[in-house]
Amino acid sequence: MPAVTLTDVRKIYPLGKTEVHAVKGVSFEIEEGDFVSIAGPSGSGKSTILNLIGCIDTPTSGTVQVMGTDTAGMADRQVTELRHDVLGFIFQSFNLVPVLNVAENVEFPLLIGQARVPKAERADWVSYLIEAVGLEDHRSHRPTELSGGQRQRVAIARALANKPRIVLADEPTANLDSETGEQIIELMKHMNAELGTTFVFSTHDPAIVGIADHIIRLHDGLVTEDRKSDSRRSA
Amino acid sequence: MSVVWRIAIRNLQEHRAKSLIVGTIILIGTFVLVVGNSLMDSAAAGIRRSFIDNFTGHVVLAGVADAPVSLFGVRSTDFLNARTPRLDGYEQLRQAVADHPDVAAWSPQASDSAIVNLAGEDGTSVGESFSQLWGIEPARYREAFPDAAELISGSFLEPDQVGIVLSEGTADDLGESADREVRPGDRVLLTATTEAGIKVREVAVTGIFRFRNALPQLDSVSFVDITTLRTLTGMTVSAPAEQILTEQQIAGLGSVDESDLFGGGDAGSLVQEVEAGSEAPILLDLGGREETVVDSGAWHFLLLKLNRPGAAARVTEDLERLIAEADLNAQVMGWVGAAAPMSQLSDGFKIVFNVVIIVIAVVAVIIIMNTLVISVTERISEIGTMRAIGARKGFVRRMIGAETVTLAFVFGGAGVLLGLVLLFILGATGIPASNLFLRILFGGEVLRPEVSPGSVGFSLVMVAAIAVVSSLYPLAVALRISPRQAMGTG
Repeated sequence: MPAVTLTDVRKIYPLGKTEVHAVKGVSFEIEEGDFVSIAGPSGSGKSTILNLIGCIDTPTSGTVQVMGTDTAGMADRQVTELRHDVLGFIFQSFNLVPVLNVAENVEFPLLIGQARVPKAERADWVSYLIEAVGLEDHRSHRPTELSGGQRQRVAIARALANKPRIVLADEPTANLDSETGEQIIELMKHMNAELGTTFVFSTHDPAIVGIADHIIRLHDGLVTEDRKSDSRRSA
Repeated sequence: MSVVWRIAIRNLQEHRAKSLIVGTIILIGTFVLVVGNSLMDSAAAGIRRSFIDNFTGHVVLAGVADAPVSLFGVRSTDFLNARTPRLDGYEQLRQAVADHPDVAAWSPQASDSAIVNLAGEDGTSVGESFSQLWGIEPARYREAFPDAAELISGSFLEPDQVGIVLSEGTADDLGESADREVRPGDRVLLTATTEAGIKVREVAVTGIFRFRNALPQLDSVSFVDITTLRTLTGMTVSAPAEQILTEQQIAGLGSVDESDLFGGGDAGSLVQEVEAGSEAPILLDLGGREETVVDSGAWHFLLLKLNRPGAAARVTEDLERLIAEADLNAQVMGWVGAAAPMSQLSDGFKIVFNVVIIVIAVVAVIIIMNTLVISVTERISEIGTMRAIGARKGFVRRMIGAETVTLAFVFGGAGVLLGLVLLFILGATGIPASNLFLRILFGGEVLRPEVSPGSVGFSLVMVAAIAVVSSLYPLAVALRISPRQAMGTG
């Protein structure tokens, strides 16, 4: 079963008396465990597609299936549960909770769900994630005490806290220098390999696009390329 | 500590300026509510105690009129013609009251008002004042209200003694206008109007007194023997003419013609014809009919002091049943009705205070609401992120609620504590009533406020309500924040 399936998805935004056709009939599949880059210039529809996959927005037409579930017509509570249980999010501006420290930010998704994770289990998992992203010395630091790269590492750890099947990252390197950006993508790839979590990230940086093993290139709301790398095909 | 409370408390610390603005409003509001309501309650209790102990008793029986009846007469717009109604079935009611196990003491009373002139030595009158007259049975009154009056000079009325005990206010006023001090032994002329016309009566001043812990309005209340009052107020019954007029009375009446009454002559000129110290004290009865005599059984009120204040409801119920069964034209009222409108002053002040509080509350709600909305708007990205990563609307609701509750609890609690401290200090030192307004408000010379648990509870409920109402709109704004607002655009 594909992790994500988009079938003839269109998204139109009203803009005053006119309409903006952000996505103009996009179809693709993402397999579970893929490390996917959605590439394209600014305005090509990358974020719109990530929002549709993340159930943050709904398509004007077409279907979006996440882990086999059609997301159309779901109630707010069901969508929220889907986002919490199946999806993880990484934002370009990190979006950490400013009043929580590193450990608390990573733990946060575990505390807002319906399922209660035992405290000891929770603490072990949070520690593992913090070590995995290389921030064991910064557990008690608030976001304002961290660099951009460190904040994005916290965001990656937080996105993985619920052991989601899919992590969506919207331009995760946009606010980082190129070296740090590459490190972040490498970290994501490492976690993808380590945990088997599907990663879907958008970027317009050609240097980063190549790291992905499944590249979906967009232009003007349409898919211009949907290519899986040889390594992925052989895997 | 749950993550909701952790975030709420840290957010409040993080946004110190806004928290302090909202918190200070809550603190001041709670403080004003606790202190204000406790002061009002203490003043109301003081007024109640003062009224019941000094001149109304717990329960009052009165006649029935078209307008509300009180010890000060009938509250009617037609006050010139409004007459205090007689207490129907007085003997029957008096007997029931005397036999009732919850009644500790009782005192009958009648009420009227009169112009008071000082009778000069040459038979003329000098000075002028106004007095509310309460006709009483002296022994009964002193038994029911032993500490009410404080004699300044002279003596109180003895049983069956004809005379007047002037209030200090009336005596001072009269003395000032007569340009000489009024003393016990002086004779005064009392002029009152009845349904039938003007009545004038001369009586001796037996003493001068003042009410203890009384309101300023009582400064004009004087005690007079009941027979004099009945004459002045026209409480008469039909009788043969020859039974009521002595030769001297006839001589006195014969000296008056209509031009004296309505042609500008004053009371002084009217009584000049009558020898001072006359055996027949009725100087003038312009409207009285010769075929009437004073009704010796007529009273306006029956004032009851009870063994315990809690028995008032039961006594009232028993008396109302008796009135209904005997089909009497009488009513039972509490101290508030009996002393109206004076007794309603504290209620009036409380209403004004509460209106002010409501206005302040509305302003507070608006300020708090705006501050919270700004706070929520500044956290759109944070709340959107929470929603994006799986926080339900209920989580956002709890988070905003926790912030509001924390503010209300911490600053509201501080307001209550500060209020209690101030009340304890004021309770120990007392607040002197430095002017007339405060004497009315306090129900006496000094107010010693007590902490009113009801006021504290009401204040906390009010603050909680303000906090909840203030947070409704900011909460709605927070719940409308979409996860999309946390995402970038592509």
